Amino acid sequence: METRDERFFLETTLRRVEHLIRQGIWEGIDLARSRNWYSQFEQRACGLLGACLLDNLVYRSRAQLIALLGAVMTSPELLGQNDDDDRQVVSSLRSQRDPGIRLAPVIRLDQPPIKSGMYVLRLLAREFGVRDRWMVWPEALDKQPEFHTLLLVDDFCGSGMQFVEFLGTHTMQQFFASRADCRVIYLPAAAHEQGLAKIREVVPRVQVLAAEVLNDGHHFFNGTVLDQYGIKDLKAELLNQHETMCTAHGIGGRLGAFGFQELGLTYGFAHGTPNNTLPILWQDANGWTPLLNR
Amino acid sequence: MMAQFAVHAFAKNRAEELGFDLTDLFVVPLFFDKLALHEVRKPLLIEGGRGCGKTTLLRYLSHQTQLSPKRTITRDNLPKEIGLYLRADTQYLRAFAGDALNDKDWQRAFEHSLCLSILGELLSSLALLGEGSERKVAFAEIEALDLGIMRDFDEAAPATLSALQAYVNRQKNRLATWLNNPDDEVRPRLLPLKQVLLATIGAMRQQLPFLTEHVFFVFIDEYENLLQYQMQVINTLLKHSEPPLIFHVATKRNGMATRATLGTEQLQEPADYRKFDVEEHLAKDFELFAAELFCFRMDQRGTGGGGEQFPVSAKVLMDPKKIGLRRDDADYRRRVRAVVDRVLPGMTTDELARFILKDAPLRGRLVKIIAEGLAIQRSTLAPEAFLRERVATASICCGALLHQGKKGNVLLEELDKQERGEKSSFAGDGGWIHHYLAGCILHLYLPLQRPCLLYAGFDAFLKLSRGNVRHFLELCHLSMVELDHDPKPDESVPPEKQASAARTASALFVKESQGSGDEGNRLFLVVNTLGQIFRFSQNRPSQSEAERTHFSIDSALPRDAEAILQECVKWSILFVAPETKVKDERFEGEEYILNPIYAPYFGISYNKGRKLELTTQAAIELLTGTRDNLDKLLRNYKNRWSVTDDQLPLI
Amino acid sequence: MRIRTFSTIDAQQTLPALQWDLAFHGDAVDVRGEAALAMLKATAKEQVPCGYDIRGSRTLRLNGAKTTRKELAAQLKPAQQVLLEATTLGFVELLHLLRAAHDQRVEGVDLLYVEPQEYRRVVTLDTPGIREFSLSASRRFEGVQGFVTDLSLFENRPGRFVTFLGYEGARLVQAYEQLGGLTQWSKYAIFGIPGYAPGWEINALANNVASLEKHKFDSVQYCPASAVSGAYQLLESIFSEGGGEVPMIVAPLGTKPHGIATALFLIEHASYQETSLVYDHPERSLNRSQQVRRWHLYRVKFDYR
Repeated sequence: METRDERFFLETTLRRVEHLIRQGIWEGIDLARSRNWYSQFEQRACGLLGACLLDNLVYRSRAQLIALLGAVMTSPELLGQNDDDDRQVVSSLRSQRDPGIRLAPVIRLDQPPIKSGMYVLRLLAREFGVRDRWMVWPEALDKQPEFHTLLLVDDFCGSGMQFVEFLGTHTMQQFFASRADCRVIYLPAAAHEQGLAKIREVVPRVQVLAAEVLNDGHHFFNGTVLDQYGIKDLKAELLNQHETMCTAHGIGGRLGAFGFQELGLTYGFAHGTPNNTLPILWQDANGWTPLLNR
Repeated sequence: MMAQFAVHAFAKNRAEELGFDLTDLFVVPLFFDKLALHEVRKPLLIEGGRGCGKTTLLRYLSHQTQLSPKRTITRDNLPKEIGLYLRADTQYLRAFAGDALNDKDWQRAFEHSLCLSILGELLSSLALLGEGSERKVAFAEIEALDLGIMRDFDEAAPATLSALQAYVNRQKNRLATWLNNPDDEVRPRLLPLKQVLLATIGAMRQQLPFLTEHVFFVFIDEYENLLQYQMQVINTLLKHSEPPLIFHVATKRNGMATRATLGTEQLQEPADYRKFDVEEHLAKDFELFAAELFCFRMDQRGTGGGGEQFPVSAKVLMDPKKIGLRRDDADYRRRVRAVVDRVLPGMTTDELARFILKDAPLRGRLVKIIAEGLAIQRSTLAPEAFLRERVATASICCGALLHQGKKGNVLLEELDKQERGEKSSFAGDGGWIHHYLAGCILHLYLPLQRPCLLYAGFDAFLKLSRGNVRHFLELCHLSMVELDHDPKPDESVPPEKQASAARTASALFVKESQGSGDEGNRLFLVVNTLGQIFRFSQNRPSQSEAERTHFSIDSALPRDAEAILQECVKWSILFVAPETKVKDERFEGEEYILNPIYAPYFGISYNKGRKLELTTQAAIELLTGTRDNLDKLLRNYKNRWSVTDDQLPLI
Repeated sequence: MRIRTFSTIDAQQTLPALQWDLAFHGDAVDVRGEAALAMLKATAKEQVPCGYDIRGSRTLRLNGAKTTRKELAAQLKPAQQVLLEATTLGFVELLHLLRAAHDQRVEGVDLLYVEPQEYRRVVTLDTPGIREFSLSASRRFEGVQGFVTDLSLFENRPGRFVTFLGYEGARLVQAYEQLGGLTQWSKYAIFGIPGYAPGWEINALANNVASLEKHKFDSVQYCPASAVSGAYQLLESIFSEGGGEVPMIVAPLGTKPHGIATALFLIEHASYQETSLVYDHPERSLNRSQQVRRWHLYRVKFDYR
C-alpha cells in the first residue's frame, strides 16, 4: 500500500471528523479525545485502520436518536387502518385520556438501573411529550387496566438475546399469559437483522419496529463496507492492522475483538455503544483510550 | 474566555459579510485613482474574479458608504457622483423567461423590475442624505420634496419621499405576484426605465439645488448571471449613458457574453465603455496592499499598540487622496512590510533545512531516502555522511540527487567543497540547491501529518493568494484561529500554525471550486485530479522534474474540452502563462498553472516549477473524462512515476 | 394538515388496495418508475402525464399540452380521488399539482413514492479527497414560475434559510455562490436520518459538512429520509420559532419526500412574504439500474379553514 495516497485519505477523514464534531453532528464525541484515539493508531503505523473506522462510523447523536424515535413512533405499523395522521399515536400518548397504549423499558429489576431503555423513555417524554402516566415498569404492568398495545422501548437490538431473555422473565411471561389480546411491539431505535430473526423465531407474537436496520453487510471487515474503496487487498491489510492493535492493547477480551456475536459493527450512540460494535471503538480498559462511550 | 479580536479582524472577508456601509472599514486600493471616476463620464466595465474586491469596491462607491451617518456631509463635500448599487437577484431575474409572456413583455417586465430597483436606491440615497438632525438642516429641501412627477407614469403613485419608497416595495411585490399568475392577476403598469429615472432626477434637481451638478452612477453587479436579452437591455443603457445617469457593470472575467443592444448597434470598446481589469491593477501593488490591509485589520481591532506597531494610519489608508503617499514611498513600503513579516514570519530555506536535520521524523525520512538511493547504486557509504549541519540545504538535496544517479562519492566531494566555501555544484544560480531544495523539502513532508513549513510566512501567503484579496485574508484569519489568542505586541504566529492555516484554507478553496459556475462539478474534479497528479510527481524521490505545478498540452483541443479549459481560467482554477519554450514550429500553446492556493492541500509547490506535458488525449480525459477515465489517468501517472523512476542526470 | 403514511417493508408492493379517479405522473426513466406506472395502470381510471419544461417554455404540461394555472385547477374536483406519482414527477410538477388541488379545495391528495435501492457509492483511495463524482452540469438556481420571489424584498428582514441536504454537496456550494445575501440569514440544515439504509447518510454528511462550517450554519436537524410528515413538522416548528414573523426560504436539495414536504409547507404558508423557495432544477438522474427498495403512499388531507 502506498503511503502517499493513504496520507491524503487520512488527512481528509480527520478534517471531516473535526467538522462533524464542531458542527454538532457528532455531538457527544470530544474533539481532543478523538485525536488521542486516532493517534494510538498512528503510533503503530495503523492509521489507515483508524481512518477507515472513522470513515464508516455511524454515530447517532442525541438529536439523531430523537429523529430515529420520531420515525419509529410515527411508523405506519403502529397506526390504525383508519388513522389519518402519522402523529396519531404520539398525540394520543400526549393526552390525558387513556390511549390504550403503555410503554415499558426493556429492563429487569435484577439488572443495574442504567439500561438505555430508561433513557429512551425519558427522551420520549421530554421530546415528544409522552405523558409519564402511560409509562410503566414491566413489573407494574399487571396492575394496569386493560389496554390494547404494549410498546417495549429500547435503543438498540443487536443479537436479540437480551430482549428474548427479558421476555423470558416471570413478569413478562405472566403478562403474556394474562393479556392474550394485547398487541406487543418491540421498538428499538435501531436493530440488526440477526436480532430481528431471533425474535421472529423465538417470540413470533412480538412485532419489532426499528427506525433503521443493520445487516451482515454492515460488518466492518466481512460485510460490504470496504467495497466502496475498490482496493483489492484492503480487507486483509485492515485485518492485519486490527490484529496488531488488538494484540498490543489487549482489546477484545471475553467478547472477542469483533464485538458481541461477532457482528463487527461501527455503530454507536452518544449515550452509549452497543457491545456488537467493534470494541476498538469503545473499550475502556488496559490503558486504551476509546472513541465512544460504552 | 478572552474575546479574540484578532480572529474577528480577518473573519469577514466576503463583501456580503461587511454590509453596505464601509466607512471606517475600507482600505482604498492603490489603483483607485486609475478608475478616474471624477473625470470620465464613460461607463465602466469592471472585470474581476471572485475575491478581487470588486463588489466591496462598488459598495464603497455607493451611497450607503458615501452618505454614511458616520460622515459629516455638507453641501460642499457632497460627493459629485452618487452611487446606486444593484446586485442582480439571479434566481428571480432568470425566471423572467418562458411562455408565460411574450418576448416583448418579458423585456418590459425586466426593465420595470430594474427601474424599481434603481428607483428604490435613488430614493434611499436621498432619504439617507436628509437623515439626522444636522442633515435635516443642511439639506432641508429634501423634506419637502415633491415627486409628483411620478404620476405622469402611474396615477396611483404618491409624491412624498417616504411614501414613494413604500410604493416601490409594493410595486415589486405586485410584479412578483403578477408574474406568478399572469393570466389571472392584474397586470401592473410597467414603468419605462429611462424616462422614469430621468424624470425623477430632473424633479429632484429642480427642487434640490445642491444636486444640480451631481451625477448618479448605477452599478450593476453580477452582470454575467443575467439572461441574454437582459444583458442587451443593459448594454443599451450603457451605450446611451450620459449625465445625470450613468450605468456601470461589474462582471467576472469574460462575463459580457454579448455586445448586442436592443437596437442594431453593438457596444464598442473604447467608444462606448471603458474596461477596468481589477485583478490586473491589483497585481501591480499587491504586496503593499496586502501588508496595509493586514495592518489595518489588526489595528482596527485594537490588537496593535497603535501607531508604533503599525506604521500605517488608518486615516491615510481610507483616504483616496493619499494614494500617492502610499504608493511612491519606498521607505513606507519597507516599514509596512516589516510589520507583517514580524507577525507572520516565514523560515528561510536555510533555517528550514537546519530544522529538518534536527527534527527526528523528518531527519529519519531523509536518511531513509538517502539509504535507498545508496542501495540502488550498491554503495556502501553511510547515509549519515551526507547530513551536514553547516550545509544543511545541500544535505537535503542529496536524497534526490542519489536517486537521480549521481554517485555518492561525487556528492560527498561536492558537500566538502560546499562546506569549505568553495565553488560547488550545489551553489549558485542553476546549482542543485536552486533546482531541488524546495521540491526536496516538500517531498520530505508529504507522508507526514504536519503541513510543510514552506507554506508559512507573509511571502508564502502572498504567493499562495496570488493577488486574491479574499484568499489572503482567509490565510490571515485562519492563522489567527490557529494562534488561539490575540498576538501580543511583539508576538508572531509560529510557522507551524501558519502552515496549518494554509492547509485548512487550501482545503476550503478546493471545496469552493464546486461552485464555479455551470461546470462547477467538472472544475472540482479537474482541481482534484490535477492536484493529485502533481502530488504524485512531488512524491518521486528523484525530484528530477521538481515542483511541477503547471502543464501544457501538445496540440489543439476539441471544442468541449477547450470550453472547460476556458471555464477553468475564468474561475481562476488555472492561470495562463505564455509558453516559455517553443518547440519547433508546431502548435504554440499556452501553459496553465494550477492556482497556488490549492498547493498546501496537495502538498505541492506554489512556485512555477517544471512543466508537465500532457498529451492531447490526457488533457481531454482530464477535462471531459468520465469517472473511469480520471481513475485510469491517475493510475497511469502513479505507475509511471513509481515504477520507472527517472535516472536521467540533471540538465 | 394531516398526513398518513403507508410503507411496505420491502420491494413487494403491499400497499392498501386503493383506487383513484385521476393520477398524474411523469416519465419512467428506471425500474422504479416503471413499477410505479404499472401500479397506476391497475388502479387509476385516468392517467395524465405531467411535465415541467425548465429549459424552454417554463410551463407545466399535461398530456404534452401547455397548461395554465386555471386550466390545471379545472382538472380537479373536490370529490375526486387524486394520486400524484411522485417517483416520476419532479419537484416543480408536484408543487404545481398540490397547489392546484389546494386551490380547488380538494379534500385530499395521495402521493406515491418508490424508494431507490441504492448502494454506497464507490470511493477510491486514489482520489481520496473527494466522495462526490457528479459529472452533471451544475444547475442554476432559478425561481419556479408561479412561486417566484423577489429576494431583494427580504433585504431588511433577515429571516431563516432552511435547506434539506443530500449526497451532492455541490448543490449547497452553488446555492451560496448564486444567492448572495444569505449571510445575514439564520441557516438551518436538515439531513435525512435515518437514511434509506444505515450508513447511507455518511456521504451526505461528508459532502456538506465543510460548507456548514464555512457558512456558519446555526442549526443542523434531522428527519427520516423517506418522511413527509416528519419533514413537514420540522419545517413548521422552525417556522414557528420565529413567531411566524420571520420570513423563511426553503431549499429542497434533499430527497423527494422532503421535497413533497417542502411543497406542502409552501402551499400552507403562501400568504404575503411569509415563505419562499429557491431551487436548482437538477437534471433527472438517468440511473437506469435503480431498483425498488420500498413503496410509500402518503395520504394528505388538507384542512381548509
